[in-house]
Amino acid sequence: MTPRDIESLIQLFESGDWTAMELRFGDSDLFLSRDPLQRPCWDGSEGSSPQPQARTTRTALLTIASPEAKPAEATASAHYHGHVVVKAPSLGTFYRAAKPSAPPFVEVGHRVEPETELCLIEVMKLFTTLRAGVAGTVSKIMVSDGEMIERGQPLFTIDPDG
Amino acid sequence: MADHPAFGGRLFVANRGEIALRVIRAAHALGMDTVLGVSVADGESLAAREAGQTVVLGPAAARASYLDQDIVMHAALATGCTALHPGYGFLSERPELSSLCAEHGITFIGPAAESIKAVGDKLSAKRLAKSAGVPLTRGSDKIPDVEAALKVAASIGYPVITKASAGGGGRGMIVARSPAELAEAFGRAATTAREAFGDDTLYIEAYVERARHLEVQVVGDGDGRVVHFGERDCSIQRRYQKMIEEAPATVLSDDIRQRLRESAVNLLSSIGYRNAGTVEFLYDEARREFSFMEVNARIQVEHPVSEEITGVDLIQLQLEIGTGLRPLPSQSAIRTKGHAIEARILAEDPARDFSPTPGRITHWSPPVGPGIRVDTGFAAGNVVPPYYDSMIAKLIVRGKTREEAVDLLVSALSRFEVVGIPTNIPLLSAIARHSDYRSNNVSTRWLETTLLPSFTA
Repeated sequence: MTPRDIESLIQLFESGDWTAMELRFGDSDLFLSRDPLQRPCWDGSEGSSPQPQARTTRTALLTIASPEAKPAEATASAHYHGHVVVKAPSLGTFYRAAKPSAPPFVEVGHRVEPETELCLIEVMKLFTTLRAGVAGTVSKIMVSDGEMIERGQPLFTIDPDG
Repeated sequence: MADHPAFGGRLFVANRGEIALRVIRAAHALGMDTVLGVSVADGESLAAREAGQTVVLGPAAARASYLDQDIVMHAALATGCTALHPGYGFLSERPELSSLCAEHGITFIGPAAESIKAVGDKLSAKRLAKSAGVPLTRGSDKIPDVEAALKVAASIGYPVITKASAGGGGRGMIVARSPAELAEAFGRAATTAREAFGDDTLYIEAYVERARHLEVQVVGDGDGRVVHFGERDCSIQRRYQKMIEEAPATVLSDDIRQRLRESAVNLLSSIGYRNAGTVEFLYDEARREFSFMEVNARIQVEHPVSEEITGVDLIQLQLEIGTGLRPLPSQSAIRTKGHAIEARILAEDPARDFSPTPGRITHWSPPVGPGIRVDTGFAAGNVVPPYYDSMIAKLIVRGKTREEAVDLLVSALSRFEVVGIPTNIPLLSAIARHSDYRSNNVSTRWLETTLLPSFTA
């Protein structure tokens, strides 16, 4: 199984509508999933896993799909079952609210417009606002408050209008 | 290497390639945990595989990842790091990074910000050298205009060379052999300096036709004590970029060698320098005089040759001094023995004017054997990315004598197999086999003026 084979499998997977694929060949295992929280069945952990592991899995897959060192997020699907994936524009700390005591900007199920604030990203005390960029409904929030995020990391999914 | 207790603490490694791997391994040997910051292009590197944790700083472009000080600091803080090693290049000589670390309680494995500033500006460094009794090249302070330049040059004597106060690497450096040439070169040099460093301040020095680039490796404890680990001869250069370095500098007589080493120590102990640094000198072989050039306030690419002749792991020493794990050794405890040579393996094609050759390495088989060491961040199957400098490995050989080391260099280069991208290995072999190099009859212009014109890949 060469990197090129794996690349072909990933392309096949992304162009189809499978939700997950597990392959075993020799002493290698390949696990592909559209759900960043899903674990392969051979991974001992149950249910929802710490986010960093799922993120590493997705990052490793994307790196294989970009052997010429293209930016990883360029090959990642920007859609997830038709939903828009909002990704971190930079590394930083993720905050769901304007202040620790304030209510979160959005929850799952909230309606958003393109200008709606989703979260704050802080880098060395400099805060930037991340906006939805699309009109729709928040369907998933993938990161917890105060967590460090990396550039390109999926943060929210939004079910777009229309 | 003496035994030491296991040490807690988490080190953020703010660099890539071979030096990142080197620092990670040294940290792990000392019982430190490591976090490596990577760009998206380096996520699968050897260093990333060995680091305890990897954090994606940003996209491939260095300015948005390795050079983004705020992102690097944030990543180090958010991952609970207690120390940070900046490697060489990138942010390693930014005084702001040293002070940011100090403000946030992270141990910066390098000098204090004040020291970096004091030696970073080349003119201020020269003033420090002068106060410490270190010989200087006949030259000027900053030159405001062409008229002043011509005046200074008349008193120094031609040929002279223009230099940028704010940076090096050859940019802003133009040789003038007459007043007419200097008048013409001055404006050009100032423009180049402004474009490269954002500062067009120039100074002028006597230009030595037959020069050697010598430097002394030092480490300080930050409390006034500084020791040296011998000198290096880095005269094999192309466009002011070093290609082969060696230790010790056998061109020197013992008394000049001693004075050179002492000058370096005196200069840096005068400012209470902390951690590793290198003092660079120009050696005029004809006059048998050395003069101060500049200080590099960081660990350098060529540090391994000093390690090989002293038996000291300088990266581990950096970490130990930085974290207070052990005190600086005494000078009498440091002995030099034998001869070491380092050749930089570059992803560049000498047959195509040294154009960079990024791409996939399909076969990678470095030489192995007694006295051979290879420091690299690459393995077979890796892609050499187009975004960073072209150095892919360092081949270091050691021998009892310089002759033995050169023979081993020739042999090791012939066994260094890299397939998939062109490299400078054929050129390195040609240098190692050349009678001038073998008899150590070279200067800083030798590679470009003597060997390269007759070299065919």
